[in-house]
Amino acid sequence: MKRCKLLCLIFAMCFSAISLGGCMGDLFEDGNKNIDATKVQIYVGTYDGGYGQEYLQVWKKEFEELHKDDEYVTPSGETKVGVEVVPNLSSDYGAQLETMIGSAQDDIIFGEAFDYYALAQSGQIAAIDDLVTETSPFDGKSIESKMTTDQINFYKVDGHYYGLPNYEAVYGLYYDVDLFELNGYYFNKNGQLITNAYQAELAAGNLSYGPDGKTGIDPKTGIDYSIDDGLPVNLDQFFTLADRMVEDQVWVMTYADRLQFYYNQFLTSLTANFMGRSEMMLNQDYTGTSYTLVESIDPDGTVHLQEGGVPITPATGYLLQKQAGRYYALEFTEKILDSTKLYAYMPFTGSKNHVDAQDAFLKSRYPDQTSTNTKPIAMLLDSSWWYNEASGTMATMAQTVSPQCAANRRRIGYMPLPNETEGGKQNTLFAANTPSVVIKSSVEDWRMPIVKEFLQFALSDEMLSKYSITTNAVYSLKYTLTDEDEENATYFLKSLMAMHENSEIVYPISTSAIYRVGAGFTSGSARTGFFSLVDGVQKTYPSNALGQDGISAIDYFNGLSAYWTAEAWERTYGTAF
Amino acid sequence: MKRIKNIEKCDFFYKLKRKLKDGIYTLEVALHNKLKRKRKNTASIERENKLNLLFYISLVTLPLLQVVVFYFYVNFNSFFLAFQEYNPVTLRYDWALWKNFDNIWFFVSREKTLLYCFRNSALSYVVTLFISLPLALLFSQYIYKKGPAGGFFKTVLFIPSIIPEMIMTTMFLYFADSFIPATVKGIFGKEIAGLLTQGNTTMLITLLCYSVFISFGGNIIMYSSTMSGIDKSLVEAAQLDGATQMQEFWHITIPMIYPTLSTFITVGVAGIFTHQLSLFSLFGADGNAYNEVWTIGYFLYSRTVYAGSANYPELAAYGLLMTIIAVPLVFTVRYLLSKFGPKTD
Repeated sequence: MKRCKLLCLIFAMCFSAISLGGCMGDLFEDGNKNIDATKVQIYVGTYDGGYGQEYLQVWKKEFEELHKDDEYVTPSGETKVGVEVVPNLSSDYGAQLETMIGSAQDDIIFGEAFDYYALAQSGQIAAIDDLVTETSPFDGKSIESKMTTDQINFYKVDGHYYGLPNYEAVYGLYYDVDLFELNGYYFNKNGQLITNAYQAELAAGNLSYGPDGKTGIDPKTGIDYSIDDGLPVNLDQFFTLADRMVEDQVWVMTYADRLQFYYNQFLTSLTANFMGRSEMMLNQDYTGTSYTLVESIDPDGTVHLQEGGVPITPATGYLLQKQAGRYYALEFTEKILDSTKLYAYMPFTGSKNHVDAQDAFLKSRYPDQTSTNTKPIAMLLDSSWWYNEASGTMATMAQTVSPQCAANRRRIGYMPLPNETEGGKQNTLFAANTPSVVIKSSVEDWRMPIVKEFLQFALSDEMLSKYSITTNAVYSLKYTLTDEDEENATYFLKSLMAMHENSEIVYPISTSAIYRVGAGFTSGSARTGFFSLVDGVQKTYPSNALGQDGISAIDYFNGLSAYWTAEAWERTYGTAF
Repeated sequence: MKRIKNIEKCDFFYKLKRKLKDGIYTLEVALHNKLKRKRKNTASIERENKLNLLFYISLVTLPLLQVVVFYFYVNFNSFFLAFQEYNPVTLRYDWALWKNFDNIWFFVSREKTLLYCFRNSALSYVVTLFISLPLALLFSQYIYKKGPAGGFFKTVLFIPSIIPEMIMTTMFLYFADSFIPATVKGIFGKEIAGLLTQGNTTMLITLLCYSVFISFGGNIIMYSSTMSGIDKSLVEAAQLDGATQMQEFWHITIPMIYPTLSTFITVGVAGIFTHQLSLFSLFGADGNAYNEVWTIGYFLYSRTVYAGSANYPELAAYGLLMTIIAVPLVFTVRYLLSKFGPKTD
């Protein structure tokens, strides 16, 4: 009995030790123990999904090369400088930061979806005014000069910078350029779909100027306006094209129906493009005048707007549920997910995640005996990080199917979203997720200069160009690709860069108090933007409601205002006004 | 010759085994002599008491610590949070008294979402109680009575419980959304949507079936283990009296395992408010699952996981409300089960 007790005691102590050991472990540690202890290390953390961590490895290599002969003065003597990338696999990395940043190993955090203001005001992240405003020795520019006014206003808290923008992600439609050219899915200047006569019309310079209404390269700015030439400019043209694709046995699009918030994010992009920047910003600042509030909608979908502008304040923010852009986006959804039209490939399985959708899109033009789908898919609904996520698939396809399938040879571009004009309207992009980069305030004083230097180095023009080449994406700052990178850039990256330069961009950031309590399109993981009350049931995802439940776009749109009544608005966001 | 070699080999192992046994016995004797109980005097009794105390402390420290940290500390904060609201200017929580509860009532009274959640959570418990539990009991009895291939079934049915949930749900998604439609098309030539297709009427029933399936193995292990502890003389006496298998199950097995049974029925009642019907594993945390199949557990989880500082007070109020409903319900069920359930004597 005694021995039994002794054994139990040992077991109990072992369990306690293991449990407590688990509690004390560094939650941000990635298990990489091969850290060079002879160097002073800069720990850089990021979520290892989407854009991944490869760009950090590139920056690390460049920075270590830059300092290979330098000695850094530490309290214990002089030593070399190293950079350690700390990838984090948790998609809640940003949310974890708010409670864990104090104990995090990371000095610099390239994060997303965390409460920047809460971290700044709690003193957990360092003020970096010098880093932001001083001219960088690496490119002769200050980081502040690369930021937009919105970004400057947002990142300045009580007159001090505590963070900087991170990546730029745009949810939208990405189209297979080769398929479009093959089938002539472009419009001519008369607004007619070209199809078989594509090459002739192209040679004759008859392609329409696309949604932006411009073509050619602007000699002053270098912006390429021709990248959207011939693409549909409004809903009518878009669905003319969609009908043609169905005739040709081509799926118009596919998306990750298991991740319905992807569709909601896309809907936000669509709404932003319909509304334009100033109307979209009302949904974040809640100060200004709205000129697009709907008075009524005829059964045939004709929209009648309220005459004159309606002043918007935080207290009357619920009125924005009537913005016409929301209706147009819902109308688009109603049509594209119409199950009788067969536009979308497998729209409601509930089991298709983003990788499945990417694979289906990429492989659709190269079916084999095991393929469940044998029809090409023209467009993929996803965020701009998808190209980096799908790099493995494309590499495999390049080896097993055709070298043409490699990421650097395949031609996939961003499709400017249709709007309600006849063209000539500047695109409006909605950048998702509010990603930011911050430095932890608990970095030791003697290490802080080198930590800041790394960030300054990383955000220099040359390194931002390397970021783009590595991730096939745009960083949320003003910069251009170096000549060498420009030459090596994929079609996808060129398309994104062109759209970035040629569009008004709405960042989901605001200094308004009401935005900080969650009033906005993308709060709560992009769900609150389309809360609708239809027949007493709260609907969150228009893709299902319109595509499957048979709810019309008009009913869903009216449900937005039914959900966000003045009282519901006051009860939810009343603390901010 | 080969046979002699085998005998020699056997002999060698026999000797080795003997030696090992002797060695262990000698070690035991030595340990016994060293640790042998001496005549108890006051000092030794005190020492033994101290040892006992240390033993109990070491056993209960971890669970107690867990209760203090993960129940009292966490809920202590949530309790006060339920009566506060977030101030976006000061970034602090101010007292708001009943405002959060009032807001909950406002939204609940005008929407059906939470009603769906209550319905589905209750339905899930009813299915567990009236389908899962009887099935598990009957099958456990079969295994306990050593029915043909009982051990095999026990192992096979337990496999889903040891396979990681993410793998199981991925396989089930494939089964429900791809395999079943393909099979139906192959056999009947009819196109059907996947069973878990969002908004499909089969969604809830499929989720309930999955819930029964996934919990089956664990339940069988638990009940058959409890059954194996039943006094054999009781069973023999019943058999001598001519009891049938069913009578034995009803009058011997059920009363003898009743304490375990009633405990799990009671715990299940508390689980109504947290059970999420595998929705998180199947559809993610984002509230991706169709509103009409949500449970209370999934509703609260999906709201909490992406909530910001401003949302926590209302969620804390939700939690407090659920506790107010759950606690009396659990105690009532426990009281009724102990009052009206079978007695082992």
